[in-house]
Amino acid sequence: MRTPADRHRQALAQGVVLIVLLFASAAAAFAVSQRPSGRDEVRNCVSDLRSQAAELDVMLAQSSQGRITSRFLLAHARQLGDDIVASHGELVGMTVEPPFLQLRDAAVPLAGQLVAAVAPVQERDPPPASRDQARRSFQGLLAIEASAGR
Amino acid sequence: MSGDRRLDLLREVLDHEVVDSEGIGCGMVDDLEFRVTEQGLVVTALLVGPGAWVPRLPALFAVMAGKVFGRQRVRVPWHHVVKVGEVIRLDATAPSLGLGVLDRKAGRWLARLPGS
Amino acid sequence: MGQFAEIFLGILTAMGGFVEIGELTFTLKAGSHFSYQLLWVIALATVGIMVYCEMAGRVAAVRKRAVFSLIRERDGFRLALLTLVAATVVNLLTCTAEIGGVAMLWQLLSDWPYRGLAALAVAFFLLVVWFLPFSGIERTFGLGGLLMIVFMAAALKGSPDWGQLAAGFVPRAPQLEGPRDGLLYAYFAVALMSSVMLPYETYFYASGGIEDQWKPSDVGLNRIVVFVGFALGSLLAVALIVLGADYFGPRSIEPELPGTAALGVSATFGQVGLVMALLGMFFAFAGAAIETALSSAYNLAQFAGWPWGKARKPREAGRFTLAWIVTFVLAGAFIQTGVNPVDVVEYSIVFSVVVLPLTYFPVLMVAGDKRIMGKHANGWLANALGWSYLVAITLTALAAIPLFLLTHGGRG
Repeated sequence: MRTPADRHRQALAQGVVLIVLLFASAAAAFAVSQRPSGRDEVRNCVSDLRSQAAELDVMLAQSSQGRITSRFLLAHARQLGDDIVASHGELVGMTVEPPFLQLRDAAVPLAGQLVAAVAPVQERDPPPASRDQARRSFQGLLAIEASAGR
Repeated sequence: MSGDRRLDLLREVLDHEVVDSEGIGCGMVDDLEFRVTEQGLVVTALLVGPGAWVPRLPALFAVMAGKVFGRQRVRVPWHHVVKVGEVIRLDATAPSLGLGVLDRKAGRWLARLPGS
Repeated sequence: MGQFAEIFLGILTAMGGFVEIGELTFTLKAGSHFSYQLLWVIALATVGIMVYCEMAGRVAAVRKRAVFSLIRERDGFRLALLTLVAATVVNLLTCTAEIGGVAMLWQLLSDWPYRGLAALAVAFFLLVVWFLPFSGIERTFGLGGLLMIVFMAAALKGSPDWGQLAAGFVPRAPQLEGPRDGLLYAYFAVALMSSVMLPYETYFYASGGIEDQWKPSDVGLNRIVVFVGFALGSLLAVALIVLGADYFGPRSIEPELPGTAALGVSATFGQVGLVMALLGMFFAFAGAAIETALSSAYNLAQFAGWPWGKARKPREAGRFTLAWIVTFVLAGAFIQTGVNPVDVVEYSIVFSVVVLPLTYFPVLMVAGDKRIMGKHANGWLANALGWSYLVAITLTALAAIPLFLLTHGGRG
């Protein structure tokens, strides 16, 4: 016959188990996040930036051909720009394992170039220089990505 | 409820939908009430409400859910049960039995809005 | 309305409602990275959702009860509650992502600020679901989603390699760039499977059948709508993979945003194509947002025995109505925190596949139960397919989280 006291004891035991599990998962997740980034993480970030650079180039090309509305150009540049800034921040903020520091450091200026390329597109009348910047960023990032291998 | 047949309470009554005399859903059978007689256990009522289903949860969740949902429950005496089939049909309306109170409260609150 | 017109509209609605933001994102990325090599997953998953929707629809037509009503009766209180919690979490995450997607699309059309549009979107959904009848909602967004056909046209215009495309439907060892690519391939297979077989589709479809007052004689109609409608809908998913493979892949773009998808259409069809693509995506995402919110309300009301249904006036189904209102509001609040809808979709897809066996197992059991379904219970084919898929999705569910972690969240 289970009394309320029994139930409370059971609840307490289950609560302790749950808290221990949550704590263990949180600790594990924290430990993993604090590990310095390896080759894959650096390469993934570079891949994101490479894709974003390519997309910026294509978007500007389509705009010059009149295939997209100017409203779309501005708005999508904003959305893409947010992603670019986020990826750039991720790349710069990574703690990287020493063997791959060179890889990351080679990509950072290209990422910065990309950020600079997308910013004016978010205003009316983007300068034509943006497209060249985007393309150069793209080619540089593609090369770094390839050198990182899979 | 008339007629004699074997009723598997667990399979056919517990956790089945309760429908009132007007065909409106008024909850699920969250628990059953029994009385000890010389013939054995006799079911005396349906129990509907958090007070009935919260204790069926594992202990930790029962304690937490009890605090959130409360211990309120409605006791529907067995003699109100007309038919045990697809759903459990009752011989009275939900309001008269104290069922579906929260739903009517929510309905009254929503009725203030246009198009309800 | 004639039977033929009913079936026709039902098919078109099912087709237009097939794609939502998760599928859009994953199909384009899959095509971009792996070309046609994941097409077989679309075919496999489409048959899976057909099997389960047919079962759920059959249950609704024959017993006039939606699946979740029967889950608690059959599986007992605790298992049903666990299923409810799992399904609700998935629905909430998906609804959040769709609302975010709608806000992004409105921003692309108007260039108004995102946050404001997200709030506007919630208001829009609340008004639409409050005032429009069920069939009106279903038809409007289902048929509006057909604008996504412009993606099919763009894919065809790109002159796909038909031989390679056909080969993509046969599962085989993929051409990979390396061992890590293999993990990514597996992850995409899992994600595509999950995004096609999202459980809200099944539960919403069955509850919708009750709303539309299906009878046992409608079992045949249900089958035709499911098979033809979903088959056509899957062609949209196939077209997105082809577009990913033929337009984005060669340009080294891995599409993440809805606007990116639209670029694939504007390349061929200019500004007209762009607007059609954006509107098509809007109807598709909006439809999904509404379905997930209503699905949450259906599930909860059916589990708890509350009166439910859009067929009832809001005041006659008080808690049911509050349930979908709260779902929209919570999803909207979550979006306002600035969370990226595409990230939310990723998590909802992974979580959904993990709980997929839990959400589909009761459907299979109820539809196959002779005590409940009588002569309409699963035949040998439905049972064979149902069980095969249950095994397949269980294996997929077990692999999902390890693959997610090993591929650094699906990035490689």
